Amino acid sequence: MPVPRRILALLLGLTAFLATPLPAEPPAVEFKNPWIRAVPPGSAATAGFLVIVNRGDAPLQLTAAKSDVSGEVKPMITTRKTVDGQDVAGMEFVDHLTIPARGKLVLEPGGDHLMFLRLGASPQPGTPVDVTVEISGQSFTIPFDVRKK
Amino acid sequence: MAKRAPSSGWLSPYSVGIALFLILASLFVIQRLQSPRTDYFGTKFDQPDPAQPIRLTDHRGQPFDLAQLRGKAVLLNFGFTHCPNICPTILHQLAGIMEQLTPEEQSRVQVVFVSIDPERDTVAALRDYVPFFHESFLGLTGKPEDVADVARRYHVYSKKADDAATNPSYNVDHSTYTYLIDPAGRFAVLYDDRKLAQPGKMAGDIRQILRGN
Repeated sequence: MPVPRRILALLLGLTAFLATPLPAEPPAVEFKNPWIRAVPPGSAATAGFLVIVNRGDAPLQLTAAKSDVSGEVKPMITTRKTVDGQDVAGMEFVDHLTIPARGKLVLEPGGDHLMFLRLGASPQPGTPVDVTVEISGQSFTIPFDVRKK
Repeated sequence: MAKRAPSSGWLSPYSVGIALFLILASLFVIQRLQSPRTDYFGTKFDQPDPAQPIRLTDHRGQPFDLAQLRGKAVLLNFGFTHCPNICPTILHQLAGIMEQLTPEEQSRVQVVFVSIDPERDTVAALRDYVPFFHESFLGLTGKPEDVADVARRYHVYSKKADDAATNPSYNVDHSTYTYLIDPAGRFAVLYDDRKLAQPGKMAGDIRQILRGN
């Protein structure tokens, strides 16, 4: 039995529709203002900062990072305690930093940060450093500016 | 019915009121300008006690005595060179505060960074570290017992991480206050590190201290 032309047209249209790639989803994660602090020659460590925006409905976790300029890159928090009536700052390595759903993680000087340990040659201002971060199973490589500030 | 007298020209009650207000406002402004500002961005010491003595070695290997800096305002901070976040943040902020000042004012201000980790912070380590932030900054170190004595006198809390004996990159928890000492060598103002993020207000306090208010 011949296929009615209308149905044929509909099937062709449907095939064409399904074959068309869907418009790309906006990225679920956005990186803002990534930078590493330039440190004096011979320094063993420095800190990196950025803002990570999570547009998704589920929280994400930054679990690891790496770069060519240092032996290790680890997520770290800055702790503030009161000891004997004094504000005392300290640092602690953590397994992960959380980027809240529809929120952001702010890594900034004096606060939480990425710690670059066992630095090789000191990163120089003007030469960005590629850093790969692992966020909930996905890898993202981001160029970090090097700033003396 | 009594008729209200027509107000004549500039002597109307309104004009007199405005004139009175202007006179009082001017007097208030003049009084404010003449009296010294007594509010500080940081925490002002109630008693301007003499700053505790500091006799250590600077980053050029020269003996240092805090008394040498009489005549200058001193910004005094404690930290360690392996500190990758808080200490460099503070030192960069102190450099930014210096840049708010005129060259003449800068010549009357000395930033002093005292290491609370003298075992790792040798003179050579400080020589590489401190001038990176600002060429005028001074770094101090010394015998551990002398540094501990200064830290105690300035109520500085510091505690090495538990793995300090085995990990050469050990961390040190420490208090992060910055003292402002006046040109007469007295404790003047105290800042927690978050205040240093506002260089304009910090510079305002320093100018006030330099003026002797």
